[in-house]
Amino acid sequence: MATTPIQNALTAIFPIKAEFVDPLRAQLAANPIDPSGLDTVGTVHFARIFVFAAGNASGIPSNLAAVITTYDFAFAPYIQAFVNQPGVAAFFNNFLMMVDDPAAAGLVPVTKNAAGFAAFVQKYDNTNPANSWGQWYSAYPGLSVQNILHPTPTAS
Amino acid sequence: MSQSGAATVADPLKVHPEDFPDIQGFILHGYNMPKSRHFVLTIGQVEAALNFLSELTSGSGALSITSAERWPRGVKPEYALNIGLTARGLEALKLPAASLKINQGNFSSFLAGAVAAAKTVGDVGPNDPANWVAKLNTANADRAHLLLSLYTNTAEDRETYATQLRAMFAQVIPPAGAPGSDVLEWDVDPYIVTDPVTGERYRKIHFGYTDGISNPIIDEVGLLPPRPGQLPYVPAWQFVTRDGDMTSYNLPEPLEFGQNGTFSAFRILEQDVVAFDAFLAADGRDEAAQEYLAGKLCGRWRNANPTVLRPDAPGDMLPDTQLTDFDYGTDTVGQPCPFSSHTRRTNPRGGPLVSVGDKVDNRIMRRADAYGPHYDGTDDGQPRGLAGHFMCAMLSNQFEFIMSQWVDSGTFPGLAAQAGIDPLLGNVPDGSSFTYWKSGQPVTVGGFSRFVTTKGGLYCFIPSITAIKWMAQNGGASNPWIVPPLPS
Repeated sequence: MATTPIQNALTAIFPIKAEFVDPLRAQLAANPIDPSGLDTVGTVHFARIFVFAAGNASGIPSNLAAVITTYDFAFAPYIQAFVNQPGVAAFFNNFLMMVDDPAAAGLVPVTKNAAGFAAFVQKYDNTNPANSWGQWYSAYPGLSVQNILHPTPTAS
Repeated sequence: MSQSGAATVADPLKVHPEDFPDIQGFILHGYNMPKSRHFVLTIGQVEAALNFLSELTSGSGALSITSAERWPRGVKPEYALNIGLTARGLEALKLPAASLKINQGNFSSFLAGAVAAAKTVGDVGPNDPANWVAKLNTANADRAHLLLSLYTNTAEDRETYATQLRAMFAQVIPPAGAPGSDVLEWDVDPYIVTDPVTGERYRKIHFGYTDGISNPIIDEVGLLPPRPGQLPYVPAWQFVTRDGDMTSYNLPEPLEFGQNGTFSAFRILEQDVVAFDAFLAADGRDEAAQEYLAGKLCGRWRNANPTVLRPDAPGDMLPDTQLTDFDYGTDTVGQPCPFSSHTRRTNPRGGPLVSVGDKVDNRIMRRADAYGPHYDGTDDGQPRGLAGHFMCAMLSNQFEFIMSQWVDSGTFPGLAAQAGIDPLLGNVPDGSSFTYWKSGQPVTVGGFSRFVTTKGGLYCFIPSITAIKWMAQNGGASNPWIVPPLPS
């Protein structure tokens, strides 16, 4: 099936203020992602968020938090729908206050600053040629979340 | 909003009756006046412009801005008048920089203007702003400051009130011969037909479709609960600028300026009716087959019936409620209504193929009608199309989202095998194809290109009555607000 890729990848790595590293790690370990907001948006295939462990084998600094997703369509135009979800907004409003970047706090609340939030996330996205983009593979790059959830006779 | 001029914070979720006198009328409801003329002019003289704004809102001029105050039943005024200003127009008024705040992140589209948005909304190639009408094109867009939309019941009234309006703004524009002294005047004359049985009157666009069927309904105090199957009411803040925790923007400041306005993408869209008819008739299609294809291209038959409700033939015109209260939730194949069809692209109505929030989050209010002479099947070479306002509180999240992600996106969340671009409105590449279903089988027709070409665009702020008064009183400042430099 030759199609335009619908899916896109995001690998955003954020520096976390020292005093929030352990609390954020504990928070993420204890609280599963609430799927309701992401289900409503309906464009996110997968999402992972974590803080790198201290002493990890890769030697990655443990003050870094990763947000890794595969999502459908362009990032910036859909970010408003994303942050309109109360649970999503609440998470990122809290998260941004922990990010070690003086611009982060000015993006709260994200619902009212979606364009700025999108640009901020893309700044830290390592699936971005300006950072460290390499290659990416999907078995079905032309299928959206909704195509997969609602398969039809001619969707392959 | 207080009538004393002291602004109070309005309800972000609903429009209240006391808001009506402060909101420009065409934001909340269409006037259903069959003649209109849009004027675009340059502000050449600040004091005259401020006086003009004052006259339009004080009752001291020949014409006044029309608010959303309800007209007595059965009584329609001879004219209605509304006003919008571009970002450069606000700049030209020399509004005080110390007071005026327009959030760059939320309103970057408005601040940068319609020409800058060309790539986002598909105004490329033949649609490129360089090819637009002179007053709005790339070379002159920065001098397009003020948009006046005059609506009348008769052509005679249009001339009468246009003459009076020209006299009112005669001192506003630059002197004759100076850059920007020209005024764009664009007439809109919808083609109206009367149903021989019911006597109902319907507007038709030049492609032959019944028009003006469905617009979002802004939530308002006193509305009955939505009918079963009716699309949800849209919270007021999405069409009337309001402050509140749930809004997607920071209200422009001060409150007197920012509240109870909206934004508009004014568009002039030329329709190539001859090419459209030729495409329908290609491949030896008979009249019935042409109507079938026309219905599938639009997602509505030419009598306005949605193809998702009447998949095989138009049938008698459905009741008004059925023309609007439908969804694509059960059509996951695009069989009754192709994914690329115009109505599905511009308002996907939720269902399983788009996110639930799209039902209310990305809507626009259309106040646009046909211009040019009625097309009778003869290629007379006359330009004809559609012109008017596409309004919303956030151009980027509503108008531009629809154009970029739905109308012009080949990756609209339908079937990958049937992806495509809105065939009636999209910037369709030459040689495109369109897939629809007939007798249970997908049928693909190819070999067409765009039928609509953008001939003009203008991004305007449609201020409240209070805001117009505020501008009239506070313009001409010594430290004026200027359009901020925006990221390229």
